[in-house]
Amino acid sequence: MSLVAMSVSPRLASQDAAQAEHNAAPAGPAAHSPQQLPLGTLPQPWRTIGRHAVSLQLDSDEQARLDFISHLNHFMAQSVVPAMRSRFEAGAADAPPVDRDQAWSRLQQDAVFPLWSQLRRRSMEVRQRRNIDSALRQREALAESCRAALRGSDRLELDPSFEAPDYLRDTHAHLLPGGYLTDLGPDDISVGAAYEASSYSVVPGRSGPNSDGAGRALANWLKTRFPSFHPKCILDLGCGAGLNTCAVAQAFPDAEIIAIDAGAGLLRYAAARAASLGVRNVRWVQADIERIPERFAQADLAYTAIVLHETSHQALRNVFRSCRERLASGGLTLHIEQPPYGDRPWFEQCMRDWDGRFNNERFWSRLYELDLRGELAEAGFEAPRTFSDSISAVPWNTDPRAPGRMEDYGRTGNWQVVGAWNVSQGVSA
Amino acid sequence: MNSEMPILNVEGPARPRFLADASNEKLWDVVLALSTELAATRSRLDALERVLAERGALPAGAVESWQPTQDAGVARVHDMQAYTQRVFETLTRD
Repeated sequence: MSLVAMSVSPRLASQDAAQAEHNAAPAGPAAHSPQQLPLGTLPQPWRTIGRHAVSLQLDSDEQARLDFISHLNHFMAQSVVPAMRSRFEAGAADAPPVDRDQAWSRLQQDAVFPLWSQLRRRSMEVRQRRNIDSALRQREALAESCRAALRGSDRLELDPSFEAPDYLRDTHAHLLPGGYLTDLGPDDISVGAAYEASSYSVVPGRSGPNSDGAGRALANWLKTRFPSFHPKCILDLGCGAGLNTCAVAQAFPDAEIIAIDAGAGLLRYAAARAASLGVRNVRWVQADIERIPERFAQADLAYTAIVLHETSHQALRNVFRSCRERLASGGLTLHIEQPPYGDRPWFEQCMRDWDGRFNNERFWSRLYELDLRGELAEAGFEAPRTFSDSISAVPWNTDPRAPGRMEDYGRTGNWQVVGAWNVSQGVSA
Repeated sequence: MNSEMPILNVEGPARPRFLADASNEKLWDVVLALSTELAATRSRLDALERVLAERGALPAGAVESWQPTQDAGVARVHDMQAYTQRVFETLTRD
């Protein structure tokens, strides 16, 4: 079928004109993006992070500590990993590993890998701990900024009766104390402020001042690959702090984004941050992405951006099935993640698997072994309408083939996008 | 790492062991913390030197001859203790 003929929710179509005018409102005076520095692949200093009304404020010492940790990780990725790889490959030439577990055992015998691993873990712990500590110390000021940013707004829809899934409650995802669900009461946004600060520092800065590389990549890929696809109702599943959500909302100003997440504190932060940035075409909804509320049926696009590794195999199947149920005929589902292990070299697979073993990413290792197109077909999408492609952060493209660069596996914006059209006779990639 | 915020003291998954010798792991935690603090200090000193040089505000020998007031002396002691706790905080954990 023609993309132009794809169905649009009548409720949303009737709001188009008013919505587009509303969305065109300028960014608030508190928002600005400092210029990132011409540093090549060296870490951007934390002070170049994009600012808005609910930004975490760090003093110069706190910033310098984060910057040092970024430099240590850069050094470990660019200078330590290549040497480890050389030693591993020399050993593998004599006796190739038979599987990833054996390759991992070999790495454990390396003279440096255990210490490299310990420092990588510890630096992540310190980064996360410092940021949530700073955010909690500032929680009253952040709450006041949140109240001010959301005054008169009807964009935030929290559900006090909502119960988050176990995989979020128990995990402390990527070593953030308390994980995604920290919520100290009305107007508390400390978890969101800490999350954005850490996001910028971990990469560091390669995903842009607003740490929205995946959102910009998704929008850019979609407009390039399917230029006549104009979604009006977009579901962002697992929106977190709304970093990527805002990029998608800005790329599709005529659409309404329904951004769903489990964490009230994260959603408050996302809503206040978006308001401060002048992004108005997003509704922030506390709900279960495994069971998307029926009132959001007839969506044109339902996506996850770097979310699935935080879930579980059963949750992934539920999310895919829920997307299938809520998409309009002619609708599209997209899911961006790190690429699968596939038949990549054993050393690279082990490096990629580090987060699954040591960074509290409980579904990481299993996810990258899965056939996601097959999972989409299992969820009810027609197999010929499923597709996969490569996708990179723009314009902070971190092509690992560029001279002098070593991909920091799992930390670089080179992703896979997997998707499916919800039509039997529609467009396929 | 104990915190005044109860929510941050909830145990997450058990921490893995990286090195055969637990004391050695602690030592490297300290090395990382010390390096971090030194980086922050170097950054601040560099900023100070540049500000002062730009303004011509630092006479030769001024740092060596400076004596803190009582309040400043107390504040510096508290700073030093907080610094020590940051560097050696790994010793407070299992």
